[in-house]
Amino acid sequence: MDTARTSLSAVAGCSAVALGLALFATGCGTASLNSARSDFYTGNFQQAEEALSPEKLPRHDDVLFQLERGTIRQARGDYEGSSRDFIGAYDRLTELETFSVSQGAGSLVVNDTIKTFTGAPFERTLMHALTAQNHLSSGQWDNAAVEARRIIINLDEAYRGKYPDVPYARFMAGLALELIDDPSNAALQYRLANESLSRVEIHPDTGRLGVTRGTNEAPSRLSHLPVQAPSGWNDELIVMVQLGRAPRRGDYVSAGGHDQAPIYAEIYANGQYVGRTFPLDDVAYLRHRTEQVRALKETAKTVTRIAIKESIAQAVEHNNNELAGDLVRLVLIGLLEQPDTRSWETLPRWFQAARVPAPPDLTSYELVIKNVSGGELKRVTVSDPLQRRRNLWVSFYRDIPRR
Amino acid sequence: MNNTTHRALVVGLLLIAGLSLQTGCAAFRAQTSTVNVDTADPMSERFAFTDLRDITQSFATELSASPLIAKHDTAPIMMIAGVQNRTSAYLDTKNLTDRLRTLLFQTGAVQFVNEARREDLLREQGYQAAQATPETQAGIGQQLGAKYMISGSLTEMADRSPRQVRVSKTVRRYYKLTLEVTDLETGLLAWTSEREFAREARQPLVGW
Repeated sequence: MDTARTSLSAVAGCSAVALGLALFATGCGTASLNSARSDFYTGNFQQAEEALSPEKLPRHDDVLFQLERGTIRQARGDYEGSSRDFIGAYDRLTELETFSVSQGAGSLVVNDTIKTFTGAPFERTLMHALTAQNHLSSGQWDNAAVEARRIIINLDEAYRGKYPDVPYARFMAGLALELIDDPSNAALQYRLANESLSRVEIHPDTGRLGVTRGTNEAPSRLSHLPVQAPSGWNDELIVMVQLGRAPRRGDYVSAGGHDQAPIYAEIYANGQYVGRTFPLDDVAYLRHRTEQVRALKETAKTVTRIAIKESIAQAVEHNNNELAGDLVRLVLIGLLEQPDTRSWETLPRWFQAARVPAPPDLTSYELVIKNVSGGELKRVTVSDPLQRRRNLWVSFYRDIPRR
Repeated sequence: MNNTTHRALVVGLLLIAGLSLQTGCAAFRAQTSTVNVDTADPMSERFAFTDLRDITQSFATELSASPLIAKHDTAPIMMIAGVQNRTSAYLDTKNLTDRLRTLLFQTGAVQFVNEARREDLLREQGYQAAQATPETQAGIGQQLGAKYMISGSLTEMADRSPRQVRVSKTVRRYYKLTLEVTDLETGLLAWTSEREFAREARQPLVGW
């Protein structure tokens, strides 16, 4: 009788601890996140932001909360609030560089969702690129350059390891440095972005983009603007366009490379065609490459975790009875063995850029989003954000696909 | 519960109580104290307020005693264009130039125009011209122009220990602040100087 009671309490205790840890990990944060994402993709930015209000911020997923809220605020045009979130996420990530023994041990018994979310390396890099975008949108050139330097640190090969480079972030860093009159470092970033691309080419000295690889056109063509500008148009407009919806971690989406995209945008200034955008990054491709690097490490960890769980179940089985062992096995392996699919889901899928001639009195421009065969998908006029420093205009546009 | 278990429990509780008394529970209590800004140590390898204080003091001393100042019979008029932040951290470089201006002003060796408040000045002058009595009105077109412009840049270089099996990471940061004084008439550099320092910090990579 005593043995039966002991075995029952052992099973109950073990299961309760594991389930408790799992519940602690998921908490009520997931519901808020899902609600915010859903509101974001239906265009209800206000509700999306409210779903991620500070009092709902779970310590365990606080970085993810701030990343999602930063993107929502950026889409609303609240650049300062968005920067606060992204910078808050960066500060928290700095704290999280210390490996937590308790969370590491917990993740070996439960699953990886018990660990605090720190994001994939490319997500951390894009966080800086989007913060730089906020600063450029409000004309804070020096602050944008701070983020440029953080991008450079993140993408340093010694720090990045085998994870993929992020040419869009490099381009953003190059632009931010060019805007503060640091042409040599800007050129270095344009050149490094160029090295990761297979079709699109970036001229290191001018930051201009085009497709010259595999064509008869010489790369030197990029030293000139892609379209003959009307007389008196000595300014340049740099437009960063973000299209589509990033796949979630665990979703399978085919992607060919950083610079492959089935859509692009044409730009019209004062009614005249001045150029088009070129793809610099595809989040599906970045995620796929990241998962490849992670695969070996994570497979080894999963195998170890299942072995530990099986040992626990066998110990219970041996000391108590077979039923108790099976119950522990069911809880630890059957219920709790789940992959960590947390990811930054409000990210766009494609990051594109254009550098085109602009008139000196530019107040707005028109974007025409087209599919790969040239069919028009959408037409918008953009007047904000539109910032100018000397003869360079900078603008951004995020197209949020509705469900 | 038998006597032995009971005794062990009491001893355990006494030990915990003793340890708590030793530490005074300080680790579990919120605490606030005033820090002496002259003697405080930086808490990380990053540019800190102590660096801002030391560097501005040092620059102010050097500039006020420089031949550039000595060659003028009256204190030359300067304006501050700002210090460019070229580091990877958000730094309020206005704070740095504000302190430099205060220290230089206190030496009496330099005069400053208030370039940051120019718009407010013009607004107030306009108001006075319309509303104030003639004897108390600020004269229009009587402002003094600066002869020199102070500008500069703060740069940073960082080094970190390579990725390897380790329990702590070391970060070393080097900072250099360059200040320059430009003659607004000729565009020539009239004075320049720099301060540099490097700091190293080690942080644990494994924690509870």
